Amino acid sequence: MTPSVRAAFTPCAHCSLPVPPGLIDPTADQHFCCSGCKTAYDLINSCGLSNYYAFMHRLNDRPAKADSSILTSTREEFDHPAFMAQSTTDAGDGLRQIELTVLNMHCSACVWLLEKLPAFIKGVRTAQVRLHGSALTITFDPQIVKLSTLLRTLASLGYPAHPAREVSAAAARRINDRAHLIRIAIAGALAANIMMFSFVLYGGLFVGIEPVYEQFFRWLSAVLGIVCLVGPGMVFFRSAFASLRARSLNLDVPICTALLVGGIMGTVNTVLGSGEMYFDSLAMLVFFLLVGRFLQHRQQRWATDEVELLYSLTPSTANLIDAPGAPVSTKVPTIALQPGQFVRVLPGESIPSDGLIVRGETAIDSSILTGESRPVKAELGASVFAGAVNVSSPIDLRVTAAGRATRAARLMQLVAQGAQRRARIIRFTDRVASWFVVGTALAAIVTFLAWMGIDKRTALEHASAMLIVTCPCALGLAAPLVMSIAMGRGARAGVMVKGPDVLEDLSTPAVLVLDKTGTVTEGRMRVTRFEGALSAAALAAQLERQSTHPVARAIVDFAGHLADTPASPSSARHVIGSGITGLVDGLFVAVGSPAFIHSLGIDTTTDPRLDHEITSALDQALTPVLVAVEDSVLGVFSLGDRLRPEAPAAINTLQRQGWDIRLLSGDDPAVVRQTAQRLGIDPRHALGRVSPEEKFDYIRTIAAQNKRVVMMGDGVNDAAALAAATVGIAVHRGAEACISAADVYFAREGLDPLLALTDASRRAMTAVRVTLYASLTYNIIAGSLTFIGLIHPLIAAILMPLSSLTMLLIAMRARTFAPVTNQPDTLIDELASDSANTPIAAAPRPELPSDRAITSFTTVTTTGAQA
Amino acid sequence: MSVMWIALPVAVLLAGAGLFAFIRMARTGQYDDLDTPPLRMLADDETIPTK
Repeated sequence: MTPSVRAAFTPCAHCSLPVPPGLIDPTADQHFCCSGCKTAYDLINSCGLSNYYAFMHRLNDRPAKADSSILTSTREEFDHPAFMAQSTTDAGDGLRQIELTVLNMHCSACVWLLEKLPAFIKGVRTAQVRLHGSALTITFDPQIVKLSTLLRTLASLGYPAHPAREVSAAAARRINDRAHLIRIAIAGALAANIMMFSFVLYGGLFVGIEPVYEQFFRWLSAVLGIVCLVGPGMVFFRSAFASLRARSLNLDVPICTALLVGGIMGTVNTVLGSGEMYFDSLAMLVFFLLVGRFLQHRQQRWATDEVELLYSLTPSTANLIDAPGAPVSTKVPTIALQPGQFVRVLPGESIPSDGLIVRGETAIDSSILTGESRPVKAELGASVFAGAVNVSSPIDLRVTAAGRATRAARLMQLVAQGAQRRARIIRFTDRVASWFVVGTALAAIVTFLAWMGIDKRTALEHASAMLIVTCPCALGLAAPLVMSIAMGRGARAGVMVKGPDVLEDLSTPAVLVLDKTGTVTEGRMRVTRFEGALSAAALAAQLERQSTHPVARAIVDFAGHLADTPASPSSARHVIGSGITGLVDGLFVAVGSPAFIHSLGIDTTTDPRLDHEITSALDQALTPVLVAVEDSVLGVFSLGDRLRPEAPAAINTLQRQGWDIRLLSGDDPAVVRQTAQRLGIDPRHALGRVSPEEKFDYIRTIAAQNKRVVMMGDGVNDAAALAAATVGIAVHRGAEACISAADVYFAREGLDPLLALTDASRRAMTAVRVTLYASLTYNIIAGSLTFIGLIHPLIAAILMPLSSLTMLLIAMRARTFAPVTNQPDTLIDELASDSANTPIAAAPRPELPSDRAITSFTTVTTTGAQA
Repeated sequence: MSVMWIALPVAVLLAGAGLFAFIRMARTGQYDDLDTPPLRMLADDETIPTK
């Protein structure tokens, strides 16, 4: 944290992090913290690019730590012809182009170094960075350089890269963006020119104008005005038409009425040679609305882009085998798999394609598809689906469907369609729009009837003028803009909101359902204390090394130091959901729940101290895991999931704001109740052992009572519930399916982003209401002027931009998403308060002298990185 | 005959030329990325001191 701590270490010549004392070579000029950084440094210097470091230094920044894992990963799977065909495009002259998603890219020095890639790697022709979206587009000659070499070099520089997915979708959006920009340009050019002609005409009103010139200018504005309406203005007509066909009214309907009536009246009056024309106001209106819509579109994209970035980073390779039981012949990208091929799936890996098990049997965690969080047994001949995780032992599959044909891919497409459909709604303004339609139509009819009594010839003209001046253009501009600015700011603050309706739904208190694990707790099992013989803990750790189960990992984390050599794999037997048994150093060892140990015929109540420990662990809502060696229990681990430090205060704030908070979890009811009590949540609203289906039903029941439900969760098993909720919120490190199903994604952990989001929603809705009142005031003033016959195109031309500018000001000044507080400081506070409150510090802890020095060193390193 | 008959069409034509140029730029992707180029121009080999 402090400079003095940092100065005590020798900085690495590449990444500037402290070099471990053992690696300092007193004879060398430069020191490196790892071989990866040394490789990166040598590579950069050998290409004469050492300016990179000077550059970084000036920016007060430092290169990312180089990835030393490249020594083990060749990335040859990316050279597969099928992959090349799918993810690269032809760039002419036998060159291929690929878009990569690059990690750690954040400043101008990174841009500089990466765009110098042709200087590093022979065969690379061009390299172009797009900072937003972390994309790197490379043109290379596949005859000279392989894709795997490219990726390896990038990783060795500290920029691990993955071929981008969904490139075609991104390209389509880019083309869409360009079309939008061109429409704005056309509308802007036309509006400016029409305004110029109108000024001549308005000037002529005061100082007189020769009729021949007047006609000339009128025809010019009419021609340009009509071009503006049928060209760039066509988007509004299309949207209004679509809305009418769906038997609803959006804001585009009154806007189009104004455009249409104004266009027809202007054209008729031009041909007749007299009467009012509104082409200047109409063209300005089209221009302003297009700009507003473009800004909205771009801000909204921040959110979706970030989510896609996450998606691109998921691994995508499969182990191809020639026949069941044969050794792995090669790694291929999943999209290159063909039905009929055989693949091997190792424990802990996700299944790359839909298929049938042809060899082995295992437990499959298919929560991503079914929502069932417990692993299910899968035997020979069973079908498994892509995306599910192989939990226990290796299996060989025959591929039945791969790539876009898999069930998971089809599911993702459905979720994507659902998200799209939902994001289009801006319900608040749409509701207002219907009132506007009725209001303007009534005003026009009243005006028409009134003027029929005064002057029959001008009645129609006055009614049309009424329709034009009361058009809700300012509201059409402002409301989406307020929302999109809030969404854009949110995305930068780590809160990705997928649609503007979310902000409306979160602006007033409703029912808030929290999934316990990962939202109010840290979401990770930890051993909070151990009671018993240390040798038993060591044996348990040795056995648990072979399992990837969260409990096993917690035990290894805790007691792994005590035991160095893993037991031979053949001796372990994993019983799904309850425990593991095996031979370690010739001793029979069993680790598992009290029920599991009991089922092995071992008495769990012999040692009163351990028996007491089990009871007290259960009382404190901790999970006891027993270690039995031969035929007696020698130790008890107590595992728990720690409460997030900010959770109680955050929950309290939300409750004071009027939110009705509920807690759901798949965990034991006692654990959930105890957590609820500590958070100040009514224990009656804290339900435990809730299955994914029950979560879904729970949400639906509340929604059926016409209440808004906000659901926040992180597990894949929450996906269905998140989709059913009015607003689903996925949190950091959540599963892919969960992120896709949610309306909001938090890139930061904890409940602070939720507070920021509800606060921003409230402010955004207030700003929308202010714009509504301002817009109404403008319309009432303009409407009254029209009614008494005082309105003139000149007044409309002044009032219209004026009201639009007012709206813009209100939209920009809405204070949504205040800057985030300093993270490292809160971290320190959390650590301090944790050690005082949680059982970890209070509990007896085995001494681990051999690891002390290294542990303290790591702590300093990580805090140094945050300074 | 007034100069107006010539000046105005010329003005409209000029606006059209500008618009055409903009459309060309947008179509060739020059507006796709507005974040990276401002950083790219900062990196000038000559002005960075080599240590």
